[in-house]
Amino acid sequence: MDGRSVIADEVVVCEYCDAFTRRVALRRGERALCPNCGSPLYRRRWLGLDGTLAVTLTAFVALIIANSYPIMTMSVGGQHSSATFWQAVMTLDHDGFMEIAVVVAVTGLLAPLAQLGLLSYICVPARLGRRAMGAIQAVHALGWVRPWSMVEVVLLSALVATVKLAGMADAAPGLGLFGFVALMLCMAVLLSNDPEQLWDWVET
Amino acid sequence: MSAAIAGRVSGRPPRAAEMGLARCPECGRTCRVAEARCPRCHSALAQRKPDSLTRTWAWLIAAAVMYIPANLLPVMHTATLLSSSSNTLLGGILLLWNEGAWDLALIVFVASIAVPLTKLICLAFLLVGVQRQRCGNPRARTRLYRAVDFVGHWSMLDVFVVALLAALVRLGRLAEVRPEGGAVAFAAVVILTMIASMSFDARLIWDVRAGRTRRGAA
Repeated sequence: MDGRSVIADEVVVCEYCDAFTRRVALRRGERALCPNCGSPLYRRRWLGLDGTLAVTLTAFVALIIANSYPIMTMSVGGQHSSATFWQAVMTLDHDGFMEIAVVVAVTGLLAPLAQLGLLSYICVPARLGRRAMGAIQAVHALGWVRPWSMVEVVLLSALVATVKLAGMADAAPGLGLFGFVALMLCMAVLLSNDPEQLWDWVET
Repeated sequence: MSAAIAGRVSGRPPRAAEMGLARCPECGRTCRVAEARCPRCHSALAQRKPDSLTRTWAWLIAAAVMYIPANLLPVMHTATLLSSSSNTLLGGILLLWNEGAWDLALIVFVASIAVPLTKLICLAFLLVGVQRQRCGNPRARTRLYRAVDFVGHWSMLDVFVVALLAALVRLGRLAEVRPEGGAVAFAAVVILTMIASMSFDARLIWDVRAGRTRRGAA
């Protein structure tokens, strides 16, 4: 019983409790949970290479829109004010808060951009039957970047800001905000796929 | 192989470490410990997150320290034609409360003060449980850990709101919003707590239950 006869593909180890179970095929909408602690184990590999590339491309477009147009616009009296995401970042920097500016820039824009970039770097050669140089490092990097991508928080913050301004001004979402919504939806689709799928594509 | 997967006679679920197996920390593949490196992604194998307890405590204490200026320093400075004020987190909440918007005040209180504090307490609770070798109801503890991990990044909401307001409300003399030091400290608390949570190895909870004393060593 030293594990020598265990086939890696057949056994999954839970990262929360270390118990191992046999891997089973999942049907649509099913998720695998650890029988010992109930934590998520793995997901279905439902999004193929083509699908991933299509969604990634859409996400890129969404990201461009999100940053080219204002997230919110506001008017008080006769005065108008609007800000794109990057303008908000620059404002923070200008006010002398470079640290927050960096944090906001990374979590709202740079991390999602890095995710999309790395994903493209892995998937485009894979689609062409080749393997990119440093593809393994790219998949590693994707794992590190992931917790720092917080597009949903940007969206919710725009909502909260609108509410906070409601009393004193006319605040409205800008086109950029819809770009962020689209970006968030694309990222949700990409993340709903089993992350281990990438390793199969890299191994090609 | 069937005996290994079916479980041990004692009824405890089979655990990878006892079978000479390990989950690759980078790609999740089941590997044999003897191999030292994951055959799929070539990362070094480790049974547990290295020095999990020490590192988690370090990040947690750092976050707790930053929690003080985050609450004492003003978070935002608002200036209108009539008045100007710097508000701390609590100050802003009290303002909302006095204005009658107690539902908003409650939401802000929960999101900005209660949640970060709760996360710190929960992580400390999990750490102490492992260190004192007393982890009752490990399933609940695991769920608690996952909840802390999940909620983590949402606390950044406050920072984003301040950033957005500061960028928008720039109407010269009419009105102006500027971020203040408290916001930086708050962002630090959120990030440090997130990293603390990522450093904690939930498997240690189950190690205590299984009677193994693994103090975060690989």
